[in-house]
Amino acid sequence: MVDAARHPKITLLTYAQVQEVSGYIGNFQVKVLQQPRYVIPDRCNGCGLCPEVCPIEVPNEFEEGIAPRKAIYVPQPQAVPLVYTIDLENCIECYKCVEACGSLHAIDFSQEPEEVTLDVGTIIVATGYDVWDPSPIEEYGYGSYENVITTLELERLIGESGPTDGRCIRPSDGQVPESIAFVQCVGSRDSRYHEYCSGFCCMYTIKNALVFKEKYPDADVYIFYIDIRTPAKGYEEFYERARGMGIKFIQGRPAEIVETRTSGNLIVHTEDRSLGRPLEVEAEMVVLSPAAVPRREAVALGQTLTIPNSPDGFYMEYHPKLRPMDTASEGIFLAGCAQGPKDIPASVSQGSAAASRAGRIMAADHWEIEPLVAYVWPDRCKECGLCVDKCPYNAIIGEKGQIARIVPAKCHGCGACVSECPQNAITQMHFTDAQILAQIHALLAERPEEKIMAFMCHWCSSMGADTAGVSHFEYPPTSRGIRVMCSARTDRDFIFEAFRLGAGMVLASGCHPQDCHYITGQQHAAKRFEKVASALAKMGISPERFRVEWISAAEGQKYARVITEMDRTLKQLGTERIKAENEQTRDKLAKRLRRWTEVPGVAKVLGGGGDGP
Amino acid sequence: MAHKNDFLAQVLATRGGERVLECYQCGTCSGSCPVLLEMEYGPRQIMHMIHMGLEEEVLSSPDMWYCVSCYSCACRCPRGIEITDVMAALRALSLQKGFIQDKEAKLSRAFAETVRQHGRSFEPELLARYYARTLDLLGLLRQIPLGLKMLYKGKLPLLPKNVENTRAWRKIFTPAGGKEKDTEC
Repeated sequence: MVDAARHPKITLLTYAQVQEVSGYIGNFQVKVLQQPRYVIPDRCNGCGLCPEVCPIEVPNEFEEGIAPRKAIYVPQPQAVPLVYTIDLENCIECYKCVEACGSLHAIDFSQEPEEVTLDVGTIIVATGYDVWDPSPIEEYGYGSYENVITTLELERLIGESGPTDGRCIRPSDGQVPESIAFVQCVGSRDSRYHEYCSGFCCMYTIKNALVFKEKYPDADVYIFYIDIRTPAKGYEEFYERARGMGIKFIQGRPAEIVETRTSGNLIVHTEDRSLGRPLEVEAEMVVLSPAAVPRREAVALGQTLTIPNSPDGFYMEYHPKLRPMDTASEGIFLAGCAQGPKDIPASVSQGSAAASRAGRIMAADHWEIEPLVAYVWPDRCKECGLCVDKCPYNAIIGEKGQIARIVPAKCHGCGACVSECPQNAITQMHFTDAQILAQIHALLAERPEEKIMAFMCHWCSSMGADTAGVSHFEYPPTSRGIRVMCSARTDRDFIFEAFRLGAGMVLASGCHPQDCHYITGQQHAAKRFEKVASALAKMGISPERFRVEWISAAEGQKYARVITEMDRTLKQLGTERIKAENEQTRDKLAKRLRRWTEVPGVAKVLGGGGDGP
Repeated sequence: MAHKNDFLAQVLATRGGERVLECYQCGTCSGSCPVLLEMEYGPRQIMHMIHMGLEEEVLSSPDMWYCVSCYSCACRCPRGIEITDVMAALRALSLQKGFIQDKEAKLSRAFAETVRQHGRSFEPELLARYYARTLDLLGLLRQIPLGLKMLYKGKLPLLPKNVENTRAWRKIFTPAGGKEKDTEC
């Protein structure tokens, strides 16, 4: 950190918040609110004279409230930059610090919050995590039992630079506990709070238990656990060392912790799973290992940056295995716990990876993007502004009353805007209406009533169909697939046109909701398909002839099953009935599609068939 | 619960017991044990009970007396714990502290005495020593059919046949663990 601060090409903005991010890869504009420190950084040399005279004491956040700090303070002794800050909420403005500062004149009470705009090429998000407050788990009594503390509190108590100089004392009587119990998975791996495993708690608990045992070899140290997870290099050996030191590992998640009123000791109730019998352990102090949770501001900052959050709240990576440091927004990268709980080596690895990904872009004069972007015909746009909300990447500029414009560098080419535009004023390169329409016509040219027209998204469903083929899963030869980039590109009109041409069945498929490669594309598609289904039913198409399925790339078997089931339904309905339904609804469908001919290129395709709507 | 785990310290000090703390309760030992169903806890639970300092329960259990020293557990233990040796150490501790309750222990005792006497086993004396300890007359009567069968096949000698040099044998036997003068147990 000190090296970073000294680097001529690195500027640290501390005590500041990101307010707004606009622009795109290579050309981001970031508005940052610099909070006033009331100390001029260039003049403050961190001498530490000012807190000595400050009369105000408030709980020290870094010391978990165990020790006080002054109203003029540095957050921690190793803070970078080592510049004091006045906490104006608690300052009584006695100006004793100004006097103490003397000729340096570093203190300036006239500072105001300042907005800074930065032009940057890339962004790395490394906002870390929060520690969950375990007080909702009433059976563990955190917050009501004095001697039940969290790991971070223990870290300050056993740290040599902590407020007790490393003497681990318990809160109730200031005595060193002769027995200590660590409780794992507090609020993690728990469907009531957080379902995921926080990953690094096993290792830090083993570390803390070892530190405690080395300081106080006669103490009884217990670790209550569900599973011990020590998978990385050298970790198992560390665990073995802890066992060898005589730390008692008890397999069993405590059911309840009860305080003994007189002594302040705690009775930990659990089932000792190794013996299959109940166990009560009296411990003088209990340390909980709470879940690592996303930062409080994670969702708001994610919206500012246009990067999605996973269901667990951490930032979603572009691909969990192949691109874990990239985000859905090009030029924005993730490092460390912002993406998910991880330990120091993993955070360092991801941080270096993110930096090198960003460096690749920073070193380039030009950056190539996928050509599959959307384009607005300005003369057709009726300035309704509907497309702006549909874009998962904020790539469309244009509020109501303004011709929409797409920023190609931000567009990922999902095609959601193209399908949602009520004026058919937007098109997508390589996936134009005319091109897809031509495919529909070609695939349904002969005996359409015997065919299943399948619309599949590129990333999941069409890969699922491919998996079905590669894995030799058998299914009837009646399906005809059309690939679009995202299920959001499957236009209502494509489905209507397929039925107008007499298709037996139509399948609309895409990724599972949480797997969508275009953040919200699948959600737009799902809503649209619901409306399409009811419109078709009203027109007289049997509801079983239109099916919506979410099929992942791995689900080749599911693709084969869905097509097999649809083929069976197709046979059960029978060609006669399908033909009759088609006959009856053709005009109604054609009416719905009338305006389509105005879309550039479409008339040409329809004209070739001679039976355009 | 006592803060000092004397029992654990004693086991750690025995030959084979040095590594008991490394046990992570995988269950390979109990899974390998041919007499697990006869035991009250089995080796895995015994290891954990040693960690927890449950001295009385461990030392008064019959488990270490049932151990047939087949060494399957020790061979397969992923932590390299000599479980069979731990069982032997537990037998010694149980004897030393007077915890033994099981008749298996009495049989072991009677057997050791007989072997010390003759340099090899001598069944009639073993029976006499064992039943004198247990005072289980009914049990002795139940052995009669088997005894007759063995006698008929010539498997039950009527007179002991000592090893050639009993004096030298007892010298060897004593340092190996057998006591010069037996105390009643």
